[in-house]
Amino acid sequence: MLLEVNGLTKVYKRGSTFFKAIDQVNFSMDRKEFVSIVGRSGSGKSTLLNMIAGLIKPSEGSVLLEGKETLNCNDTEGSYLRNAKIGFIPQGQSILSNFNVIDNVRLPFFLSKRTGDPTERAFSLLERVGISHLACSYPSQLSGGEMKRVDIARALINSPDLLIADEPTGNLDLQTTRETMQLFDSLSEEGASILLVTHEPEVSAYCKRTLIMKDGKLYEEK
Amino acid sequence: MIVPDGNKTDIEGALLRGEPGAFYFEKKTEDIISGVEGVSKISSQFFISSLSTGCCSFPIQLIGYDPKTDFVIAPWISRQLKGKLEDGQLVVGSQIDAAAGGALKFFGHKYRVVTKIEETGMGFDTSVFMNYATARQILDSARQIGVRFKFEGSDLISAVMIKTDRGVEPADLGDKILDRLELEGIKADVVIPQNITSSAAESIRKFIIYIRIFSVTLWLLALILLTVVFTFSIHERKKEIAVLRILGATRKKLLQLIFGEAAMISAGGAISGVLLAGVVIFLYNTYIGMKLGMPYMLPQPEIIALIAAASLLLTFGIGPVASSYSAYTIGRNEIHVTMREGE
Repeated sequence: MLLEVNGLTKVYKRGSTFFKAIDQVNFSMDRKEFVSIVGRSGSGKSTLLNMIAGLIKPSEGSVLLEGKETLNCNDTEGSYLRNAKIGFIPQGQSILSNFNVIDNVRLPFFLSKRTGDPTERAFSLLERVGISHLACSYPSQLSGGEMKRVDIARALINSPDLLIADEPTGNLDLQTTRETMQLFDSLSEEGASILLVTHEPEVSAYCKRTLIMKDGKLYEEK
Repeated sequence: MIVPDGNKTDIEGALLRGEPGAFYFEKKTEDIISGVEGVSKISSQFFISSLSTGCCSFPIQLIGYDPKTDFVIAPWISRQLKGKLEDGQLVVGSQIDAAAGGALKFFGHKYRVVTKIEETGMGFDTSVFMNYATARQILDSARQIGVRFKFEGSDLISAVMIKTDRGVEPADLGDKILDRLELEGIKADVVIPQNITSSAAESIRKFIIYIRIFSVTLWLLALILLTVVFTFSIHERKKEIAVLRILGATRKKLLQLIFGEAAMISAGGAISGVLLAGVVIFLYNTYIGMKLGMPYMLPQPEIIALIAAASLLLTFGIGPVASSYSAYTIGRNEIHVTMREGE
């Protein structure tokens, strides 16, 4: 088992009332699985993903990655988890505008203590996602689809156990959405474990397994 | 020191700030003073003001003294001048552009410079010393080429230096001398060097207090301004910071980045500031001294180095201190909140 989520709950206070953004979510995924969580905007899917990645603290519940509880981690352990074990692709544009493509891809390598030079691997990842010719370009010179590919290459630089993508096609056109999902599909074929959230059913069609999020609760697709 | 009536401020200006003065009374004044009870030693000096010479871009004070009776100048310059100051020889202040062995030209005649005295920060730096004979020679050459002086006659002196007998109060003796001179129809002023130096010291003390208040105010203003700048800058870069956190940067790493960046900015400012200050102070040293209107000299090189090091350190510290508030606020929020706020 790669990931196990048990009784995950997140309660927010809005004004004087409390509401559950995530309500007792339980699910698990194995290695090499390609899972999508589908739901309408505001259903809680991004919150769930952020809790799994350790970006939001849950009100209760547990998240086990390779059998290790991630929610009790201190800042250093949690940061290492995000850096080495999880490749997180945030929603929207998240590459750094002052760095060129290759530096954006190499960046996570330098955020933990490592030896060696990630340049060669960064180039091969850029080749893998089909934009090696843009290695020295800056984000302002890239299209939305190209930027998403940089995100994916960056998320893969430290060979994570789990790739998490939050609405990876959120602001892409139909053709670019298809190309991006084909890329995820081929990564999955190569053995990557992928968990993504989307509000587009046609995106989830690429995944081998789909979970549905509704009002903070998670359901397995029949 | 006794000077002609109304020239108290002139002699102070000449001694402290190097403002040339030309005031005279008759030589017989010296003889009258020597007869007053309580006077131990007496020696007169003769001042000529030179408006321009080839050596300097500022007016200089020529001071003639009598080597036979002098107890003020000779002991002071004895460290640099071995032997007696002969006729036609000059001793020059530190700011006079002439070296030992060289010559200075006054009113068409050249005079040999035998030594240059160390910097004092006072009027002596822009003064030229000579014996009475040389001073009279310069005065005569000036008259020969048509320079007119307010005072005619050859038996003139500018100031009488007095050493009191042991136990005699300078102020009491001064009153006695003034009374005696008045009886002879000579009006004069008493100048007690101790009073001049203590008043100068008081001015310097006040000036230093202003400089310190100004420096502290400037430092605090810079701190406030940089705090605002860093806060805005961090606010603008919330998304970038959130991305770094998502990619696995620890809080400690982020703080290192923020403080490191602030320290680099401060270091750049500190180094360029100290270099600029150094260039201005060394290039305009004389001009600053003249404009300050008080005794002024550059400190020893080791003191300058110490001041530069302290300034560097204080300025260098301002960036990290100013960025600490924004660094603190960054660590407080959940990463996804920071990401959202940055979008």
